Amino acid sequence: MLLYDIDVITPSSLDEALEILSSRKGRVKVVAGGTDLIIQMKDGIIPRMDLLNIYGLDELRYIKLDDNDVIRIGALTSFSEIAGSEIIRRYAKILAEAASTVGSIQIMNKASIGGNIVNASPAADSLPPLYALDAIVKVASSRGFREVPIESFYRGYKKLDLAEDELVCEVRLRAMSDDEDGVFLKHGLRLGDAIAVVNAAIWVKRDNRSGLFSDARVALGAVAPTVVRARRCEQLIINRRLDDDSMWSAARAVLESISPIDDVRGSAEYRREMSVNLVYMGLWELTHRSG
Amino acid sequence: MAQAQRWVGKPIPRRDALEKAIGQAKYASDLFPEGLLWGKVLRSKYPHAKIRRIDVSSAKSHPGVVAVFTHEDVPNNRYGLFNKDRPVLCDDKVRYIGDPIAVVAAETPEAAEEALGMIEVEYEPLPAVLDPLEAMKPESPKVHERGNIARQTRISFGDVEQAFREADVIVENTYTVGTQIHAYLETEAGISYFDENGRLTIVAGGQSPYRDRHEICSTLNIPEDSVRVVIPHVGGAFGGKDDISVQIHLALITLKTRRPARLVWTREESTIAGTKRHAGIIRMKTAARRDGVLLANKTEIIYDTGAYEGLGPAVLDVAIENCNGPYKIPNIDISATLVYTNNYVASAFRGFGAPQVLFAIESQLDAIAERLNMDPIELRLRNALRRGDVGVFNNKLIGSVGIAKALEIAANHELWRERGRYKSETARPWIKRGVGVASAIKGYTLGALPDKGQVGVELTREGKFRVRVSSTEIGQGVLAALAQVAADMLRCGVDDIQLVFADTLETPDTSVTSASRQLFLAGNALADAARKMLDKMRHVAAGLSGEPPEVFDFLDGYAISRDGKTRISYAEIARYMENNNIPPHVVGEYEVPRVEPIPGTLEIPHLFYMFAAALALVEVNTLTGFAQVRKLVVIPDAGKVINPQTFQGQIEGAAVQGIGYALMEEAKIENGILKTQNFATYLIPSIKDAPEIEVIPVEDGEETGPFGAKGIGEIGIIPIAPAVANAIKDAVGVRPTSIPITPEKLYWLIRSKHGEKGSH
Repeated sequence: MLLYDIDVITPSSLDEALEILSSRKGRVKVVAGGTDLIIQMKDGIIPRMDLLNIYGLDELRYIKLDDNDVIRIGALTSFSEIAGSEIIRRYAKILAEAASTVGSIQIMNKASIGGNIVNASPAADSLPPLYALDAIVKVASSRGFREVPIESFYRGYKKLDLAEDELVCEVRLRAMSDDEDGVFLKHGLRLGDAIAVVNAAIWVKRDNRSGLFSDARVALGAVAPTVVRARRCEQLIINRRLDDDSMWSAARAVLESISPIDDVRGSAEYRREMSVNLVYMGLWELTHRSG
Repeated sequence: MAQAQRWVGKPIPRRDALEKAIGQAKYASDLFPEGLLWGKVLRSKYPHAKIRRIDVSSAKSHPGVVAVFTHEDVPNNRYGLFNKDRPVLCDDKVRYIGDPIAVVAAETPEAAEEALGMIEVEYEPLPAVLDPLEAMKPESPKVHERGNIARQTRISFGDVEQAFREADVIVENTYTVGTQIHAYLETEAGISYFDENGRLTIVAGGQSPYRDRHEICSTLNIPEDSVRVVIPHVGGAFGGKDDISVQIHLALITLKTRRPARLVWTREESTIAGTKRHAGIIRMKTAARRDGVLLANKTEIIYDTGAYEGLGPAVLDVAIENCNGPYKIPNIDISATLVYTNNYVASAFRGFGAPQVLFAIESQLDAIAERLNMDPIELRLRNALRRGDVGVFNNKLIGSVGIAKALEIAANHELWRERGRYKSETARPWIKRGVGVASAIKGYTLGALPDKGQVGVELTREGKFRVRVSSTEIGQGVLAALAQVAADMLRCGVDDIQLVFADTLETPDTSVTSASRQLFLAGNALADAARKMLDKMRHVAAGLSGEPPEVFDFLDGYAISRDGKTRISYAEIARYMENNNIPPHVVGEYEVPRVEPIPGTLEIPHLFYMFAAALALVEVNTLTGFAQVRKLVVIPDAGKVINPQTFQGQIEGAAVQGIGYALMEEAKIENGILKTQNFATYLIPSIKDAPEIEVIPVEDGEETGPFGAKGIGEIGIIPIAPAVANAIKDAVGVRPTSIPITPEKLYWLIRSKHGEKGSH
């Protein structure tokens, strides 16, 4: 389908963008890098609509670490910028790892973290790390700002806690400290430019005296309508002595949290096995690192 | 040929490299003739249906639409290279999802697109034939009136059953191979117009301007001299542009509307309506003696050619010819069947039927080596063909046979000698490594089919040469290679060679660019032309100097007498020719030597074969089934490398395409619907999937080839899938018998052998 009859409105500030969003509520679709949206519109997956092109709003393009150890990432920040950021690599490394596998160099240059959040693909590579790092999504509208924990931002398959006049403007994380660790895992069908069959992120906090994990968060993508936290698995990690058997047991517990489907990339049964195996591999890595 | 080689063998940068890198080279899809009409094709929604009615009246009434064509506008509505079974526009039936029904010509692409939606087609859906084994049953619905068996043949030499009784080891397996899509960067594309002389001109990606012209003229019933076909730079072909794509539809639009037109397939159209590699089932029973000598091979080949034959009958021949590998096997029995189904259209693809059967036989060889506890390379060497041997069809191998040498290089390669060390270098308990080997064979030239080509050479006023070939530049670098060959043959600088290519008005027929033989064929025709041209020039030099012609030799753009005292530049010779009305051009010709086909075949055996060996180091993640090729060593029997840089590029490209074939490329067709229509779902290797590739040519020389060169275009892909599969077997202890070996397939295979997770 050709998109020749679609209007593109390009605001010059966030305020102007929010005004347009508010006045043309539901009749305009926000586009940033467009790497998902344009394809979906051409394929008729989402309705044809005029576009609000916020790609030029540089005020939404930043990575900052403030004095309270909070990392703020502007919604338009590209995955190339995230993958290459010293701040992210040091204090949110699992997000940096995920960002570097999102797609080709061209996609990474163009696609933004805000777009990835709003597109809400269950297989989005940035989301499991954001879940594992307990990220907060900041939403703007002409009515003001609002903050939503990432997990409650998603209400179902591609269903967001986002009103028609609202825009995701920032995502916020707490910087990881020295006693925290994490892994990002992605199983794709090729090494480069792959959409995940399953992806996962694990965050742990080490108790330096016992050597055990005093806290943990495990999130998986592409295995449910939204990214999911594997809470039963987390319970089996926290404050337990982890040997090979107990890691397998914890990994198998992710099955309680997922509900994968068959698609062109893999069967549901395969995704179940991959979820378990990916989490096992992640736990193995974490337990074999110094700690 | 006893000529000095100043250019042949040198890594001269390709003349098209820069213009392609900076976007200057024009491909068919870059062309927008003034006043053009946009062509769009309406395609079938059903894999198999009768067409009851086609109503184009409302589409025609669209204000932007100039014309809508259906089968009624095509005088001879069937074409095909072996069997005219394919409609230009469907009339009685549609036979795959994507079969063309109507062509719209409109003022804008938007109008063309909208008009497609306004064409009414009334279908009567028929049961689709989707499984080749089902299709072969007599009670199955028929894709074509003549039934679903497009071709069936049996070739036997010796007595396999007797050999099986005497054998020490017998290995029997069924292999399945998937459908591969060419996935070229440039989709099928072209433009059409009437030139200033009123000649209908088609400029389109293809592999043979003369054959494309023939297909256009025979279907549209117009004289061949009224049509010109030009093939500019092509953004990849790999056999996928051997068949007609946009050409006849473009000719139809311009012929009927008298206006220029443009027709470029979308990526989805390309994956749907473009031809594909044959999927197939290969059953093989192979016997050997305790000492490793192969005794017999019994093979059953079933290839799914889809809705139309395309080049399928010849593809089947190549499968028959190569299913025994590059080995001496005294007893063979081959049953081969080409089956029609409603699964799209399979035709030519790099390797042309050989990669499928080589995957089978090379897996068999590995299994035999394992059973005999013998080194896999040693087993292959024990049975390898050598020059002068009699092949499996009782055919004497008169050309160069480099497989033993290639295998010896493989055996002595560090990756093979130290494979134990390579295998032990893994950092995670679930990662396993293996090293595999495979051989490859395929004939180049058209085998027993008549094959002749011409090349024109013209001396320009400036004393340079214009070389005219209808060879097509599909990315392989044939033009650069021919320029190097021509410079050495005509004794001038490589920059003094101008190439005019692939244009039925400007270039003689150098036959099709396929079967890995354009350098061989055009190079030999060029040698003939160069001889004639130099002879002509020798006589002119004699006329100019008063010395006898035989004292002249040629070097660096001069005719030089034997005593060195007389030097006449090519420019002087050219001026003399012009002033004396001596035509400054010659045409050289070469007819490829061939033998009669063996009974039951169309075009085999060949007289000339390519060979290669490959080693693969593969790492398997047993917890995901993901196999990663870490290193490849490809050892092709090249005869003589004309341009090392282009050679390396061509072999590396083939190897990566081979990795795709082995591990990930799979056109998923469910109920006649292609599920992998774009590059998000049809996965080809990314640069991260391309490993270190070492290319080591065997250069033993092929006397019949230009400067000893032989074909090279296809051989690089053929050993990759079996080498990778054998490496996977080495790594995890299970033998993959189905390609592509996708992670999910391999994961379940490992699970079926090793049971529950965690037991690795």
